[in-house]
Amino acid sequence: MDLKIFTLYENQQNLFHRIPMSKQPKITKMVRVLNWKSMTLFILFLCFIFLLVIGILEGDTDLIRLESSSL
Amino acid sequence: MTGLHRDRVIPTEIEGQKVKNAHSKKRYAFLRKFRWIPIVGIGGILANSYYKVIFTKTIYEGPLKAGCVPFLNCHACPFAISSCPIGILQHFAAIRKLPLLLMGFLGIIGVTVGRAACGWLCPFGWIQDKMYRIRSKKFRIPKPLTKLKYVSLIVLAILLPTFTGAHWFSRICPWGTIIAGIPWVVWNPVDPSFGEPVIEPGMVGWLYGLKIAVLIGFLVLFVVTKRPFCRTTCPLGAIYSLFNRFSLLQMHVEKQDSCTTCRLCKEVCPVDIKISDDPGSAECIRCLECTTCKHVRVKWGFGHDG
Repeated sequence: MDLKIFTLYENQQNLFHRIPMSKQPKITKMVRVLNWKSMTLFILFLCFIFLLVIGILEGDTDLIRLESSSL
Repeated sequence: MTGLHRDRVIPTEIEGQKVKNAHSKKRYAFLRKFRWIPIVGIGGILANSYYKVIFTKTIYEGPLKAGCVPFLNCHACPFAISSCPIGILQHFAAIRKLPLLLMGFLGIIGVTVGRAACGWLCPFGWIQDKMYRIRSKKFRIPKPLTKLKYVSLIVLAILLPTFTGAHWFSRICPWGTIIAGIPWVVWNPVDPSFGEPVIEPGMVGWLYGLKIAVLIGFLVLFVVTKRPFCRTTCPLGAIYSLFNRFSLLQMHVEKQDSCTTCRLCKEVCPVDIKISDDPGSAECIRCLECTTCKHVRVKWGFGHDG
């Protein structure tokens, strides 16, 4: 019985992937996009923005300007 | 149920895909043809547009120098209006401070487009592409040598500046020699604030000779092999290449299993990689030359498989 349910589930999964993205409802699109890889990338992106802002607040711009304004 | 779906959905999908592919191919051809415009316009002219130096005889010191460009562009160049990321990295290593702003800036670029800045903005890479067209005997760079750029990043741009306080990569950077070293020595104007020449006679010594020797060596290599500097020496390329495998912008090979191994992608590739074997290669500069093959296309956004 369990195997039957599993096979049915698997078939449905295959079916689900056959439907083009444009014809899928919005929620399924979101679910497909939100995998571990995209979440990691998004968090990494936010971390770099955070670093950039901290760098500006720490006065990195002044150091860069001083360094690059001399031969 | 499955059969019904196949009949109803798949043919439409294939037809739609064919039309989409045709449009994409035209777009890729257009982008390939005009890739030189951002390189020359932004990387070459815009980043070096301080023409007032002809009268002031001193380099630009304004607010734009507080930021840096996402490609190699020596900030000691007489016309430079912005800083070089590797120059900044070395400076922060020398003063033993974490370059937070630079890390954030390069990270954002890496995560979004990977090494695309090398293919779409860097004028030095473009010069290498052009010089490779000169007729001569050609040879391929062995793959292990491409790892040297990480050594260059760690040793020349981080460790040596940290322990010696000197900018070792800048001392031998061939692009810096072309756009800053040679112009200043040849021009050598009198500094209006001190009333003396900018380059004193003692400043042009053995180190300058070494710079010129490295430059000549690379110029010869540019003719005989594809992008040798980008692939074996560039520390900035090494930084961007760390992001290449998972950046938002990715190359994608359709029907990877049915690749006929015609090697078209490798022949046209400026960094000599076979995109059908490894679409997320650390060497790929996203120049789109490989989209000449109908199986290669660009993928953008979250949720791709790489």
